Amino acid sequence: MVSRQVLERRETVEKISTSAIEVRDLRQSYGDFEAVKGISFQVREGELFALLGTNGAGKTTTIEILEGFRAPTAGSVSVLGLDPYTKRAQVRPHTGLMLQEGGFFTDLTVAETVRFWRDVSPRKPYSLSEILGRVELEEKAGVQVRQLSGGQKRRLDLALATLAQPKVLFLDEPTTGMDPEARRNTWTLIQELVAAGTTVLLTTHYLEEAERLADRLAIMHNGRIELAGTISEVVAQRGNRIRFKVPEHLPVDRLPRLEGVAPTVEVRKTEAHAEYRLGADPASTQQSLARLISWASENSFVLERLEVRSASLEDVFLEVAHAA
Amino acid sequence: MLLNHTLRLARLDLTMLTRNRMAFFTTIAFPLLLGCIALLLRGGFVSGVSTGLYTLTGMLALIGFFVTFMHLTTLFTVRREDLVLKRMRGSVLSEAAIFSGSGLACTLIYVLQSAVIITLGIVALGGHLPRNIPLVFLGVVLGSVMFVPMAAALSGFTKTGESAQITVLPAMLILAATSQASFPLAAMPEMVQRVAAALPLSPVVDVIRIGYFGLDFTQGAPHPAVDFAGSWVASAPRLLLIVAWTVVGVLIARKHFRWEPRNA
Repeated sequence: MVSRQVLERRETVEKISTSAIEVRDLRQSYGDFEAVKGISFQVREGELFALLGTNGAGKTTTIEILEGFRAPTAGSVSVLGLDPYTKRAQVRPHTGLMLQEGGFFTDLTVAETVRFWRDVSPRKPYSLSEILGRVELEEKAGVQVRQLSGGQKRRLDLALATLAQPKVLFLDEPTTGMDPEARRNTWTLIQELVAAGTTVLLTTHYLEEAERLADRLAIMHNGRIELAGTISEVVAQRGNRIRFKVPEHLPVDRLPRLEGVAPTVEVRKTEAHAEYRLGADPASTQQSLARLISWASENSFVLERLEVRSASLEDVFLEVAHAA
Repeated sequence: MLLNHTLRLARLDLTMLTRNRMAFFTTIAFPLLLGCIALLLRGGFVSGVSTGLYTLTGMLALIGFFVTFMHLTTLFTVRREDLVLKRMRGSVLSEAAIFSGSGLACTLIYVLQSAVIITLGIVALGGHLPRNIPLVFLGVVLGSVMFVPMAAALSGFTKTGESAQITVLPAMLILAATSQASFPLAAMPEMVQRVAAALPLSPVVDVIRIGYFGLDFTQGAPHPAVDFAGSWVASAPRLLLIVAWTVVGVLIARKHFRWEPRNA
């Protein structure tokens, strides 16, 4: 009874809290090729939503429709309640975007580039040096954009995307090509923006990035969303794992079944590793582990490299990418 | 907003002209060179005026082709391939501001170039100020404006900045030969003359010459003299033709202009 009330309450809250981004049954075709095959999701105000997927999954197509570069073939999208393609002029002043690459006037210096985009921006909350300082490019102010490294260009791009304090920020693979330190600093900056209320839609190949930043995420594959939710939701659906090195001279088919599941065996060099993919319930995982250990003791096997863990985002991602 | 953005973009384009050798050559050096060719033609008469001034006024029209059309075809193509147009379109800049900003920068250069060439004509060829300065100014500005959508349209058929020189070439040969910018077509068959007169650069040449000489170049030589008011009347159909070509350019550009590279 109580839980039901809680559930209903949660549904109402979700309905009330406004969506900054809404995608409904979105489809996009290029000629005969359907890049996005009917996806739906919402990003609430102040939330960071990550779109994960392999190359060609449809992430960039999706984000570019939301950025208003093209109209969807079918379905509908809205950003801040408006169609980003037909209501460009109303939506643009409130969005910032980082393209996957390029788009710079390469003959200009870093400072000239920032100055230009700041001049045409509807709001100018930061000075030139603040804008450069946030992405640690002050020392590059006088350098021509063509001379920047890939990672520095990504940082300049992020500076341009955020200089007008947008309500909604689109980041298409924002940290590609950055060194680990720059990536960490970029994450901090993105976290600050989200903390200040910015809604962010981010695409990335880096699972660590999504794990670190995303409130919710969706994993895309072949134009469809295969999984969506918070990281713990997404990962929980995939259950727990028990893994160990198969004792030598033990035929693989003599390994016990746990929760009715046979292990998958992977051979690395000369070693065989067994992995059980179990359900998400911790109690039954614990029972399975107890069964496994007593089985091993009874048969006088020693289980080397024994590990028990919940599925990681990487496991989930790889499963989705290799399924289909 | 539109005006602010247009002015800011024009300023940006002018800054970049000085950074890029090719752009500098197309918009500054080469047009001046064309103007100077006229200075070498000191003797003789064509179509009732001195050869030097005839060519000088023709070059006033022809340089617009380079300053605006050729330059912008290259610029739009390069910016598309560099994804600059995509970034601009994803920003607060409106499409109108993007085109008018670059168009304004070219037009400013073209007006300045024209002033320099007219001055050179006065100094070196015994020329004079245009009889109808506003009309010459209008011819130059409308000619430039006409080339903006045309350049946008042609850039849709141009893959890279380098290939712009190839796609522009046919238009250059046809327009330079048919516009009477450097030689009259009076000896050609009537039909050829009519077709030539209808092409985009021809009315620009006529308007500039009518305004400069105060002679009605839409009539056969010897061209009848027109006063200030008469020069407007004589130019009116030619001005309308420039506007018509501008509309045609906009229509083609709407269909063929591309904001993103083909294989993006």
